[in-house]
Formats: sequence, structure tokens, C-alpha cells
Amino acid sequence: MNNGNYDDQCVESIIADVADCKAFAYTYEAVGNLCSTPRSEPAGYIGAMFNAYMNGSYCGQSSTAYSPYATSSWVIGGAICGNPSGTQSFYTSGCAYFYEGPSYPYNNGYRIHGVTSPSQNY
Amino acid sequence: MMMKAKRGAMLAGATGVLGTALLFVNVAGSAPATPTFGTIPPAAFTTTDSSTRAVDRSASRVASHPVNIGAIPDFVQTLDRQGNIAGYVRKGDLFPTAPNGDLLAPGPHSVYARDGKTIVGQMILGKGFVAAGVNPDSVPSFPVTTGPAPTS
Repeated sequence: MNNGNYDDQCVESIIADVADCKAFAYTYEAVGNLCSTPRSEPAGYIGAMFNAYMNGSYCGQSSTAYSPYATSSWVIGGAICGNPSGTQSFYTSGCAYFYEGPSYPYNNGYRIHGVTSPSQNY
Repeated sequence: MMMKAKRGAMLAGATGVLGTALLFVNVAGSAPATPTFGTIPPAAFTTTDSSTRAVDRSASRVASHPVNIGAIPDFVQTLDRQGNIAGYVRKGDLFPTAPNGDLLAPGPHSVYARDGKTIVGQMILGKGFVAAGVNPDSVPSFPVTTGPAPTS
């Protein structure tokens, strides 16, 4: 998939709602060293998954979902920790996958372990 | 908070096995350290400069850790789908690193009892904890939603 025109790849993860962990993946044109102008990629190019934690314990990870159509952004989300009563502290980290061709091992993708939303209490 | 990388950069193929294999390596024949068990302290989730700044992997190979690995116990407490303590996963399995220091996504891995040796189950992508002896195919996947990400 490397067509010689480098672009940048960004990943972001957040907790968007109560106990709902989400990981975002974005593709951008290379503009200096910044994530800036979105760049659409073919179907199946961008994927995302997330790891979820609650109160410092590991809940698990989502499957990886790839975009079924051309886009510059993709998100996967889910409340895999549940949301028991009382105040809980949730944390998410996300991974973005960018397809690079069948010669690449490890799901045929290039991945970025993305960052982190701050822990949030509910 | 975002990180970026240039397409075309090669990420060395490594798996969680690396971290696992190195977990109890001792130095110069000294007694291995007693592994620690517990939850991840909030401070470990605090992002650092290296995890929040834009990263040009093709040029700098700067490791991008979303967590403070050093603050994490050797075995991290793991929950089942009901929120009960199921066991512990090895830090190296949960936060596998490539030889260049980049943090990789964890794959399926074992869940251990408090002795750090007895396998009580496994963590399956998209399914969470599956107890030993249970066929993962019989466990439903987590419900997730997907779609285009919002732009800001």
C-alpha cells in the first residue's frame, strides 16, 4: 500500500462516555511533524482496537475493526469493563492499524500503540 | 493527545513473548526478584512527554509508551466479564515491546493464579477472560461499535 506518497498516521484513545472505551485512528498528509490535513485511505486500510482498564485492573481488549470503506478516520468503542455501581476509574489505551501489504507480519499491519486518555471517574 | 508515524516505517516484528521471556532474567547469578502482583497505580497511566508528542518513527524511532512501565507490577490484576478478579497477566504480555522499544498491542495471553505459574485461563481478543477448560468459541464477543471517527 505504500504508494510513495508518505502520509502521517495518528491514533488517539479516549473514554467518551461512562465506561465506554474508544480508540480512534486517523490518517493525515505529512505536514512537517504534525497531524494535520486528513487523507482518505482505501477500504480496509485503517483499523483500531482498544485495551480497557478499570480501577487499575485489566478488563481485556477489543477485537480489531477495519474500515469497510474509504475514510481518513475510524473508531471502535465498547464498555467491556461493565459499569458496576459506585465510583469507578476507567482507563483506555488504543491501537491503530494501518495496512501496509501482505509482506508485513503481525496482522499485515503497521500499528501504533496509542495513547491514553487520562483515567476518568464515574 | 495524538501520536503519529510515517507510513513506510518498519516496525520490527515482535510479540509479547519477548517481554515474557525476559521477565525473570536475573543478573550475574543473583537470586531472582520476587515478582510483584497488583493493580496498575493511577500514576502509571499519566502520560509523559514521550507518549503525547508527535513521533516520527521513520526518523527518530522514539518509543511511545502510553504508560509508565516501571510503575506497573510484574503481574497485573485481571477481571473477568462480570468484574470479578480472574487472575493476573504478566506485564510483558500486557505491554509487549519491540526490540526498538516501541510498545506493541498485546495479543492473546495467559492468565495466572497468584502463584504466577498456574494458568487459570486466557485473555482472548474481543472476548476478555476465558477460564481454563472453556472453549473460547463458546464465549460471545464483547459488543462494540465502529464507524467514522469524529473530527475536531
